[in-house]
Amino acid sequence: MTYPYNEQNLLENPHKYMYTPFQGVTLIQSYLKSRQDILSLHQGERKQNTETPTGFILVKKTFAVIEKIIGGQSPNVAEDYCRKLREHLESQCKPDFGDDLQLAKMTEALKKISPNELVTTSSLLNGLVASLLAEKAGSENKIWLDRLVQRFEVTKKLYEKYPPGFRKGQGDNKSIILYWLLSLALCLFYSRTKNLKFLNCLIKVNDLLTSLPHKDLHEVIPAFGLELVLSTEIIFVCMLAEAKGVDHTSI
Amino acid sequence: MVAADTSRSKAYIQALIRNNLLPGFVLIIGNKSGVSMPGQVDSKESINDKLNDVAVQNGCWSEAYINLSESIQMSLESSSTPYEQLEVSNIHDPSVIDIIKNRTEYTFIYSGYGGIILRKELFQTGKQFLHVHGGYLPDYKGSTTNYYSIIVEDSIGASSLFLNEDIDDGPVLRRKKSPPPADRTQIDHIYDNAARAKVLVETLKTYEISGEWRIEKDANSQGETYFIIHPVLKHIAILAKTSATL
Repeated sequence: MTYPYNEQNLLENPHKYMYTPFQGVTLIQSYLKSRQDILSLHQGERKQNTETPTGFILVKKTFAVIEKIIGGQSPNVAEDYCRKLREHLESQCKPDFGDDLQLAKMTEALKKISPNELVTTSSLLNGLVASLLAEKAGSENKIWLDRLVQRFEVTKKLYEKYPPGFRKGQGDNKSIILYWLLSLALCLFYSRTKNLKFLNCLIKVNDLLTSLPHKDLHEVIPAFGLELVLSTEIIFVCMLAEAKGVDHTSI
Repeated sequence: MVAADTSRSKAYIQALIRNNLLPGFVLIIGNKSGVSMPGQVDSKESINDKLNDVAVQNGCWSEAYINLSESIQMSLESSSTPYEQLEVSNIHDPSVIDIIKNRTEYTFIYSGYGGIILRKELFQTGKQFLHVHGGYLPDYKGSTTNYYSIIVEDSIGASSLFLNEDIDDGPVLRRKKSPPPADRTQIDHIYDNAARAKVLVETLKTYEISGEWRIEKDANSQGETYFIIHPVLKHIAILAKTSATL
């Protein structure tokens, strides 16, 4: 069967996921195949995205954090998951001590954002990812992530700005980078908390990303950024399935 | 009671009749739009409401005898329960509000279409709305939470509460956890409804005996609010073989 939840452009035709039918283990297998196919396609055209250095710092640092967390939980899985990404990342970048300074600035910027004022979503998401990288799941991070998850789950969109109260969004809602940043934040938060609410949202955000034209993703998402969020999501799903005794490898 | 043409309302009404807890009046909000509403059984869905003996013998599924082919109207007529039907699916439609406002009953069992948050105009009728949430409160608020609780702790929950304007945030009257059913493919229309119907029956029986609404948990503002489960996680919950909690 074909994985049915990213077949249409989900920015144009959002999925509500209500009362979805049971389709057996083949649904999980079709999900994995769909994600792997998109990864293969994207890896074939990988590039160093020099236009978004901040994004690439977030990719490098997120990978390092998740590799460490997964390594502590399931070393075999971590080795398999990390090998390819690590090779590519290490070949592309040298350690840069300016990275931490950049992240610290972004984290500081998050502290100045208030839900009682107009919020620029890109600043919020950049600051949130930086803050999630810098510390363990802090309560302030969860409050912001809860707000974003609520907005995405209800509307299936992220808007350019949110007026005071953080309810109805304003401006463009087709900015791919916002959805990718949310995916990154969800990867980080779930890796630390194992709270299924955030894995649930991660799969939906990645459904949306993988429903979009490949060239659009390639243009705006930093190098290795899509590989990172998709590979991480796959690992989380497989680890969960394994923990619950669901054999998704049998046909 | 406010009922909709859903498997949940059928489960509730059949359970109330079975337990001799007939409502004084039922307002049915219909759906003539031709588009299936949340909670309605899709004609393409495969529903097995013929339970096997093992499932029924287990006391926690005593309200799982749900005949989905029996209409709400048939159930109400066979039990001589007065009802009125409006061909509007919107609980906030002025005609619905008017009827509720003008009824003499103070407490309404709420069983409308899924995915709706009651707005202030309904609360401004001066009535209180008894709802049974499909999840153990306050831990599991929001939507489809029983799939989450199966994955996390191998259980299904239901909690009765008086609604307020926040999601699953009102005072909890009764809550219950049960092991998941043997056939997890029938959770959406059978077992989630059965778990809720059982808590509803127990809540009403307590009221019948004591003459008052006993609140089990007044402060209910903590907990996690979940959103509709993604099909991949739903499949993991259904196919899970281990009872180990995460």
